[in-house]
Amino acid sequence: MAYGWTGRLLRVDLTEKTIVKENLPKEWMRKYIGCRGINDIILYSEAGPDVHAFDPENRLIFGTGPLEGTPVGMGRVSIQTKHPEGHICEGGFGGDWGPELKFAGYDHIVIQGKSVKPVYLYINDDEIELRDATHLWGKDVLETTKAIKEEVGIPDIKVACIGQAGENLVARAKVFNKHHSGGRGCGTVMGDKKLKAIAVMGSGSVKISDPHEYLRAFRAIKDVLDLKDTSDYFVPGWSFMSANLMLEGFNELGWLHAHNAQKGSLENALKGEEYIEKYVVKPKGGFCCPFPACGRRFEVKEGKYAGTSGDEREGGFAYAASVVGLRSWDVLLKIRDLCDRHGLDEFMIFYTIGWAMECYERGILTGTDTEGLDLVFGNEDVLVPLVEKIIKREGFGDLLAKGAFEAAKTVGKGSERYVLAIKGQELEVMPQRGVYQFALSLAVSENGPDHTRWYPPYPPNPNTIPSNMELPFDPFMAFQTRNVENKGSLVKWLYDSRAVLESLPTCVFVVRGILGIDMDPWLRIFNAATGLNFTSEEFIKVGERIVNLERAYNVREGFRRKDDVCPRRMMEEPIADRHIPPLGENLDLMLDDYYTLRDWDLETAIPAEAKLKELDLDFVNNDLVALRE
Amino acid sequence: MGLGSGSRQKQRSHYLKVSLDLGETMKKRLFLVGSELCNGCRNCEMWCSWVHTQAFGPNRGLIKVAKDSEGAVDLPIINCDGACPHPMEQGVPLCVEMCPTGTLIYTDSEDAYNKRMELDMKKEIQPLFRLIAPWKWPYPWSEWRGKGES
Repeated sequence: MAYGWTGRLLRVDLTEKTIVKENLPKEWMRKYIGCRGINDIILYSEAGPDVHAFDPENRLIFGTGPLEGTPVGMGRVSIQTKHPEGHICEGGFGGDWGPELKFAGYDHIVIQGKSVKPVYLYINDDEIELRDATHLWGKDVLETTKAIKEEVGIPDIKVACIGQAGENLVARAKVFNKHHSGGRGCGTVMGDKKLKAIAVMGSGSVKISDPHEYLRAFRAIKDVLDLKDTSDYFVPGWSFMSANLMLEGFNELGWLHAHNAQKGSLENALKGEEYIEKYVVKPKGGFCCPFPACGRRFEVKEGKYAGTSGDEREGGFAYAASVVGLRSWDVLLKIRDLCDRHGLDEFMIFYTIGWAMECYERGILTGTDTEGLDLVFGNEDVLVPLVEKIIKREGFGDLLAKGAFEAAKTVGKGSERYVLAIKGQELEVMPQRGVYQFALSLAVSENGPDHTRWYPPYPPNPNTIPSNMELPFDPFMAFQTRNVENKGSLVKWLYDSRAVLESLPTCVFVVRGILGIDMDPWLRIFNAATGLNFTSEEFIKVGERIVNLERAYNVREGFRRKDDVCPRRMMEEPIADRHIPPLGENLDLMLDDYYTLRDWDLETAIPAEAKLKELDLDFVNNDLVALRE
Repeated sequence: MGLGSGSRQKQRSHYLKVSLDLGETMKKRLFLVGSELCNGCRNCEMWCSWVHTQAFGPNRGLIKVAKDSEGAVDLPIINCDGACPHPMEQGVPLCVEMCPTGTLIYTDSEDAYNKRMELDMKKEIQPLFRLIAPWKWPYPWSEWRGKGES
């Protein structure tokens, strides 16, 4: 196709050292659009149940979409592979790497096989080669980026790479593009394949079918997000603080996972304003992001960690600090910097250390296990040395590098009871006992807990919802936090709509206000860019198709309703300090609601034949026939 | 290019004298007033390429954002005389319209100078002005009412 997509896919076999350019099937563009959607169909077709995450046959797929490289794409890339637990492992980053891949002329890169020696992939338009990366192995993300720039002699080349965490197969390691990171676990698979980096330089452009209509459609989206004129309550705050905006609110509401979610709030918890006042030096933004400071550059100017500096793109890590009882921005930013340089996932770090702290306090782990580290909640001195041990997999760090879920299996002694993980992957910071729609969303997520698949989960300003708009849920009931009414229909809508938006792609953090429940602005810009004439029904159906395909992938791997759960603590224990009861049977009620609306079996959560046929997924249905019996 | 810090009186008067000689119609130009406010989003670069080629790509417009490897520097390098071929529907060229932080402005030299002064002064009283220019954000916030609340 001439507009939007480049129509080319790059297949790289690391075992055979071959690079093949393939045409992207046109049928896929209509059925799955691109990015996350096309990544899904590639993974479904090529990495079946007989493939383990660390087999050479596992695929590591980088996907962009038709709107990538244009401003509304926001540089989002979907990275996908198979998780060691068997389910889909997907995440993404923003930044300049994705657009550059489009400018070089490729929509997707499929990595297969496994190299013996470390390599990196060099792409400069049509000049593509695998190069030796032995000298880069052991270098951190920023060092690798600099070294590649110097080596190829192109200062502007865009590099996506892993740090030492990925090399050492630390669980949930991410792929980094400078300070943009994503794909929890994809960095681990990349390290296993001995692929250190993908460096991309492109000189092409993304052509637009109707450029002037594109501009009008873009302005319509931008108007909703305009700082001076927005109707969305969160836009002004998000513009400067991103997720830190709600830091104090979460604490007051008891929504923090303080002390491994034993408590809902923390005294003297971190404050977002202090961060802005003392540490932030300049704004940072993703590719064509309409917000002024969705990311920020920070500097620690005094104290033990003076001189630490870095970028952050998501404030969520500050909420995760409460899991270990951390109250110091200095230490938190030092850990953030360590994670960013070495390619770690900060959520995995905090939830795993939080689990270890609880085990230590309960006597399951002793001073001998922890090599003398006094792992009590709030002990800030142990954190930085422990993170360094995890990166290098030294001693006690080697246990924690497996992640809380795997580490608990090794330790035993009932330590599994304190793990906060879903589908084997540590939680992010979203509260579940306090907000039922979050609990349902996280439980049914196909790639483990991932808030970007249903973000943002709050309603638009009621005054901006047109009275004639038909919604599949009642916004006033659905967004109430602690009842089960309308939650199934809300979460189904969030998943379907975000699946199609992530396939365009665009960044879910700009899906604010009315943009979150009205798909027409997105449809308009998609049609303007690609020259296709999708209807609203076709558009949202793509999202539903993607969600069902992902569910089918997990079903084929053995995942059933029993795996759509929340951690034991959320199900059984109240948040005592805030008198918030546990989820209990409420989750089951919401799951029934959700599966019924999806036409998935209530016992097994397998999609029904009629639903799959309605979504043109007959080939998926053929795979599931035997599993239904 | 803008005036940098523009704190020296001598520099100011020299600059204003030159700008006044340009006459009314030539007065408005593209200014980079707060290079430290640039967040590296490349909106200006991409929309400039759109203006010139109706497509989005690097090296096609008259602006390119220079970045270092660490992430400490973002700086739009501008090769533009201010005569944008795209009709300015919003009164400013697309690069300025799409700039989220107010780094780029389209105005006359005197206003550009004053805006830079305003930025430096307001940064002292409100740390958020390290992240956005005062002319992009109504301050104090308490006096502002969004359209949703009217």
